[in-house]
Amino acid sequence: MGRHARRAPTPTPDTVAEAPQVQPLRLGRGDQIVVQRRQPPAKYDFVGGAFQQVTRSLFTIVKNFELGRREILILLLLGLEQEHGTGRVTMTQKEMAEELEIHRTDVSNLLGNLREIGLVIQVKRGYTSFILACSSLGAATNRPRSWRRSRWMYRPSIR
Amino acid sequence: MEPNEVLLDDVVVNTNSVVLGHIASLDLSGVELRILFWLMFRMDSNGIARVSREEIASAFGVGDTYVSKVTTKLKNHGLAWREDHKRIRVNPHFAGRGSHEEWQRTADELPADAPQILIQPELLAAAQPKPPKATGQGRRHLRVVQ
Repeated sequence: MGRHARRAPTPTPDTVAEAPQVQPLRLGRGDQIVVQRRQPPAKYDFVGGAFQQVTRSLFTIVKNFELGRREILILLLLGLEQEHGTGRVTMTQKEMAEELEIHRTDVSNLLGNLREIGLVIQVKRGYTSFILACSSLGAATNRPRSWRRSRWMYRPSIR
Repeated sequence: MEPNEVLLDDVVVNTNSVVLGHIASLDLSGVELRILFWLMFRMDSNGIARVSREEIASAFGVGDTYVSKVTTKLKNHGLAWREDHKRIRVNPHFAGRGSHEEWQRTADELPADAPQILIQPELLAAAQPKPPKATGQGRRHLRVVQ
């Protein structure tokens, strides 16, 4: 090693981090513990503090397939009701109908259209669960698996 | 890939969840919603969609007058407004394209007299972060201290 080669600085007692000391805690009768849970730091300060990531292609699909108002509203509802991180929506068709103030059979037909296009995937029959392929809540690191699976292709000529 | 198939791109548009819920409660028709979404598709990282009125009219098969009515309606709701003849700005408090920093910067640079989105108080209240669930309620030796 040359004379001017860089050497690692020798740690001084002031810069060495102290090892955390673990001490068992025993509670006696009448003792009280106060736990203050730390709130996660907010990464965004927009209205409501929540945002949704939508793939840009969804907007062209909405235009090319000429989705109606109620189909768009169902998409918005599913996007807002999806679980954080997984993208899964667990709602019955009755709940959707009550939320959108339309009939349940209309919800069934509209969901069928969206399923035919490929925007919505029905995971389970009976208790309806959906995975929205083009939208996710939260930050980019929390993209659900469905987002990766959404690199599929859609056919504008199905209709 | 067949010629009639289009691969979904990875371009992400960030949208405000509260405003999305607010849009569902507005009296926007299907065409108006599609025009709004199309503007979001066309906007750049500064939130500007470079489309003229005639271009929107030909894309949706409607008249120029109808497009003017739609843009006026969107402006009244604070969602998007016309900057000049060929530029329409989508409200950055509603949607932004690109990174989070770009979205934040675009929102910060918005003038104070820009149209604003008026959201119902109940939607805002529902969007507030919920406090963490109380733990240790069922334990005998751990009780919540006021």
